[in-house]
Amino acid sequence: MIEINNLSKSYGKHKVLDDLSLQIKPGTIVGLLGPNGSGKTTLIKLINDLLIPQSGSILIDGKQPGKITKSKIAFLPEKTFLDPAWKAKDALKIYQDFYADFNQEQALKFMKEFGLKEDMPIRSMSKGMLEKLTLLLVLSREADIFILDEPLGGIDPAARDQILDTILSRFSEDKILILSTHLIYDIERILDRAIFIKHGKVLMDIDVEEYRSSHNKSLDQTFREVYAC
Amino acid sequence: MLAKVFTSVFVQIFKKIWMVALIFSIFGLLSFGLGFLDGTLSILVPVLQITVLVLGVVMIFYSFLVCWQFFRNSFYQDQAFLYQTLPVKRSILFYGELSAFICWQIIIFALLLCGLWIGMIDQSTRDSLITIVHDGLPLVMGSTQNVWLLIFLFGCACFEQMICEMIAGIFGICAGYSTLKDKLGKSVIIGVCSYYGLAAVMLGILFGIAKSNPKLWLLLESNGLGEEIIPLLAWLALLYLIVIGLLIGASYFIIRKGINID
Repeated sequence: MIEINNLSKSYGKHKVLDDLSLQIKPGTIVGLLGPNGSGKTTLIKLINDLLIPQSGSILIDGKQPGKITKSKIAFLPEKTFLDPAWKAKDALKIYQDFYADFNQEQALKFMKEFGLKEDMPIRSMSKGMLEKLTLLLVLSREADIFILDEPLGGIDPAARDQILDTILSRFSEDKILILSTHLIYDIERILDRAIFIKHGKVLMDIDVEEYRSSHNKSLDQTFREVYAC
Repeated sequence: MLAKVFTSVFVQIFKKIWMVALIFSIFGLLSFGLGFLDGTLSILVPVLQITVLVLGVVMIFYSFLVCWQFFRNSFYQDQAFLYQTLPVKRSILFYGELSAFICWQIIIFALLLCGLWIGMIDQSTRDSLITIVHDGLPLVMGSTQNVWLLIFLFGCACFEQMICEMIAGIFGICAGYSTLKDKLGKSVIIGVCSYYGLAAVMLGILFGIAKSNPKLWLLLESNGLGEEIIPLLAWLALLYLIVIGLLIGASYFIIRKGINID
């Protein structure tokens, strides 16, 4: 379980997260939604111990972000984090060396499905291929928590369904899956819960199915209304 | 985990610098080999010797840059999303990388000395130097008969200059990149502190060895470096202790502060 209590984070005088509180239980697929600058990525970085908050706390299964929680979280950042000088197999090796829960066989299976080869230099991969490689690295772990920041960015529309199905295939009732994306239309079919963030605060925290049936509109429509300029 | 980090970083650095090291070695061997020849090809020897020297300098700086860039990428650029989310303590990552960098600098330095020894010096000079080391140095150094220890210590003194610069550069970059904006002033201060901190350690070791050797001490005294400089050295040691404290503080700052990558 992820427990976030009264979390605040500022960059200088600019407050990015403002007294934010959340609880995410296992067995949930959560969509973290909001426009650019709303605080989604900052929240994700804080959960992954990449930043230290000004105040508040984050507990992952009762522990503060650190070495132990990093072993439980499989994080896919928005940015490309692999060394361009590597080949795909070098990236696989790093994951195999450092993550005890990394499933090499699963990774190779994903590579075949996505049409990637181990000897392919990362420098020569297209944006879409790189996205698929980083995604398969993350999804090949048997982690408790998956946090995917813009997993569909750079993926062509035809492949998005394949990616989403792959993401879903790794999910189970004892895991948490957090997706942060602007492509709400594509992912809303798989979301259980949607958290809308605005100016560092939780604007809406809804059960997706209940909301759709009671309000008779999609998350995508809701997003456009809530964040209309 | 420290061993895993060290091994991983060591191998990655190798993949980036092996080509330059190989080219340097080839030119060193060529220079050595052609030195035995008479005739037209032997005129290439001076050219090759200069090339070896230039390549040696390039190799030193290039290896340092590779290490520095690796550290910067793994802590403050996009690759930090990978390294900083690995299930290792940040301190383990930091010291694992630093150990690998130091190891590589030792290897590159040793390769440089070998390359210069075989590529830059002709055989008669090599023979003379070996004679001096085997026969001459023990007479000067008195009770210390182990000339290889002396050569090692001399090598350490030279190496200390290089390693201090590398670590100073890394710590300087740490301070400078602790936020998104470069902070040149902080980088320079931390870099200078790092340099003098490590220089103090080596000077202390060398001073201790010199003091323990009567004939070497006489040699120093005859050149005006006697007991009267001890107070000066004591003040210098105090200054160095302060900078070592700052160095440790800087390490703590780097490791404890969050990594803001964007």
